[in-house]
Amino acid sequence: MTKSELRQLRVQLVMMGALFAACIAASAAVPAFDWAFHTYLCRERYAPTPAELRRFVEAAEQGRLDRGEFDRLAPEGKVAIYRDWMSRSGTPPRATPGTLMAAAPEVYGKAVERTLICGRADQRERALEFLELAGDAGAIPMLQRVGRWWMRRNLPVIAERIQMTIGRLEQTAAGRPPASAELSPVFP
Amino acid sequence: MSAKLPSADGPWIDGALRWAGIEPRAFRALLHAYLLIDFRNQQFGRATLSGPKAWVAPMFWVVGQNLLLGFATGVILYERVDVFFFALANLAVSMLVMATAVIVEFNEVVLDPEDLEVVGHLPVPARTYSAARATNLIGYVLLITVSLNLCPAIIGIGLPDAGWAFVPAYLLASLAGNLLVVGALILVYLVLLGDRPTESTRELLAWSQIVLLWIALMGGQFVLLHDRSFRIEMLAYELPDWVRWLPPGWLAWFVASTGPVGDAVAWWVPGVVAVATLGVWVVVMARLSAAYAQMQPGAPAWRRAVLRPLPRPGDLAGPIVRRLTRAGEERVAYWLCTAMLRRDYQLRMRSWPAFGVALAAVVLGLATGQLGDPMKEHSGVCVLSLAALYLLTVPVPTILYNLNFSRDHQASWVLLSAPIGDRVAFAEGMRKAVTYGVVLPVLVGLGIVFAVCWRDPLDAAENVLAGWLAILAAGHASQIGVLRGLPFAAPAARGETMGPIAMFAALVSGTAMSLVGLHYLASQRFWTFAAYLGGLAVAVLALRAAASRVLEQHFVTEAPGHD
Repeated sequence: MTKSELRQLRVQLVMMGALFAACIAASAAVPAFDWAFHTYLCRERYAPTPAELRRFVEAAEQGRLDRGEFDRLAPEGKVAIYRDWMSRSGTPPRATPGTLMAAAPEVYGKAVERTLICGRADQRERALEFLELAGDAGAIPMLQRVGRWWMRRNLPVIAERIQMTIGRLEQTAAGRPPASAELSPVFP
Repeated sequence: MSAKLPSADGPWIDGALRWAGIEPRAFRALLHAYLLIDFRNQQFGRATLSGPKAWVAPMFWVVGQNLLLGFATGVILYERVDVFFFALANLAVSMLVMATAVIVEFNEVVLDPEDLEVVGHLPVPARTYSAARATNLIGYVLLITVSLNLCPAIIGIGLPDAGWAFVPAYLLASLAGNLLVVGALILVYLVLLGDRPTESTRELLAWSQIVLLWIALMGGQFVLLHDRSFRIEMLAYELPDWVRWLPPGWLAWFVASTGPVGDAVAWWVPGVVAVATLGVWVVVMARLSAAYAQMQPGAPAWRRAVLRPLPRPGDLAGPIVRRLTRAGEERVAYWLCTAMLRRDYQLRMRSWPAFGVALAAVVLGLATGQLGDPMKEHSGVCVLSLAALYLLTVPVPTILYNLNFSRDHQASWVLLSAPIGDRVAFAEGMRKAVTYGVVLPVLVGLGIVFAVCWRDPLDAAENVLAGWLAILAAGHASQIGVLRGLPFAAPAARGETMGPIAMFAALVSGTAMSLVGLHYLASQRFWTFAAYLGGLAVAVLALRAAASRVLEQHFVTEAPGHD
């Protein structure tokens, strides 16, 4: 095919049609590979905990946080302690959530909320366990808001799991400790 | 692209056209011609680097860019946001690009008084001319709408809160929104402004799709790989209420209401938009028909564009430029280069895209909250601030090198025969035209953005000072690397305007990115930042001295063979 033939309107229209066809195929492939989005792209990534925060992590595990020093930490530093707990392989320490929520409920409430919105399924599960272990009923309005978001996104399974956590927190607030649940499996 | 008159279609189409008072043969010929003009739009031709003889038409690249833009935004948002936000973002991008495309192609698809010279003397009834123009306009809007929205419509099917009706609802919403935008824009130009878009506006907007594509690709890469704050997800989750009241918000509401969750389908939204669109288009068609009716010999066609007048001879510079430049060769070169940068749109179109990456970094930084103050934020939050600052060095060698070329290069004998005694001063004037006349205003604008965002004008000024020193250094280095002779003396041949300096431009970019790292480290303490500024100043002085020596020996100011 010569250059002048290529420049004909008919050929240009055929080329444009081929371009549209290729884009339709590529677009149709995106929903077909949505497992890749769930597994690799739509998840929180946790950087290694900085060495200077290790003593805060250990103190939180033992429930003996120095509030004076802790309050002077920047919000990013406080969230790094939460992320350390979230990324801990094996069974994470049970005392950490309660200690952290008592020290900075707004910071950790926001961190849990972000995990529930942006995290992967296993990360959401562990974030809910964080709240259940902390037993902080103050997080219930936030959980209701997040539950409504997942209902709106037509994912009622997640909303039901959040509702379960709300029920456990209400029991804790009423002085009836919930049946202790197993912690979620080890993170990959 | 060969222009061949199309063969006659079935008699029923001819009959329908005659019934409507349209001459079928003239209608087909005009429509075919307009289609060819659409494919060969020269604003987009410059923006997509496809010349009039290229075998791939500019329109092909424009449609490709639109498809890629829609695909990129669809992938970035997929599975991260709800169907409302997905539709909102994609519809907003579509309406924005549609608006810019219509302004760019105003002459080709809406109204061009130059048609009078071609069609005016032919026996073409006004109604036939109007019908061909209107058909071409609607066809163009449909093509751009489909190219922008096809990929999001398909990708969106996979969202859990999107129902089977997502595709038709989304395409209906995008068509309604784009028709409304186009109608409103034409009305603004015809009724309020009473004129067509200016040449410079059209040239500038021809690049908007490329800038948007840059933002989508850079932003997408950032979101997919590096955004640990999940700004898009959190924005969709905590969307401010006022956003829902914007026009794309109404249409997105309609699209979301067709899903399996929520209340009844909000049919009233497309109903209201359809009535508004119809109303706007009735007025548009009435105004356009009136304008088309004037396309007859002797009728008052619209006024023609005129070139910007040059300053009076001898009045080379205002008071500011007289302070910035020394009298003689330096001021002459400054005036010549700034005048050509104002007048020669080809030179502008070769030069302005170099600012695209810096602009994309600023927009991305503003959108993602990464435009932090490096003096206060010692984290990744300030990376895009520093990148935007130092990316302003990248256009310096590109523009300086582009000053070699001109569409009127044969007139360079005037310069070559002129008595230029101080060649270093002349090259200094060229450098100052680029650094002071082009880059400095952008840097000042960036400084204002920094001062507003950081709420600390002093920090903004300190950072801008560092950026300015880097730009000065890039200017002197470019004098060494790319300036070899009098400006505007060569034709802008394909491959000549960028190829020979690709390595040098890469060196400047690499150095600029290294300076981003140094600046970041130095800004942690006052004295290290002061030392960094001192180092930059020394580098500027050293490069200036080196540039003077190189220019003295190698900068050619005479014609070949001149004694």
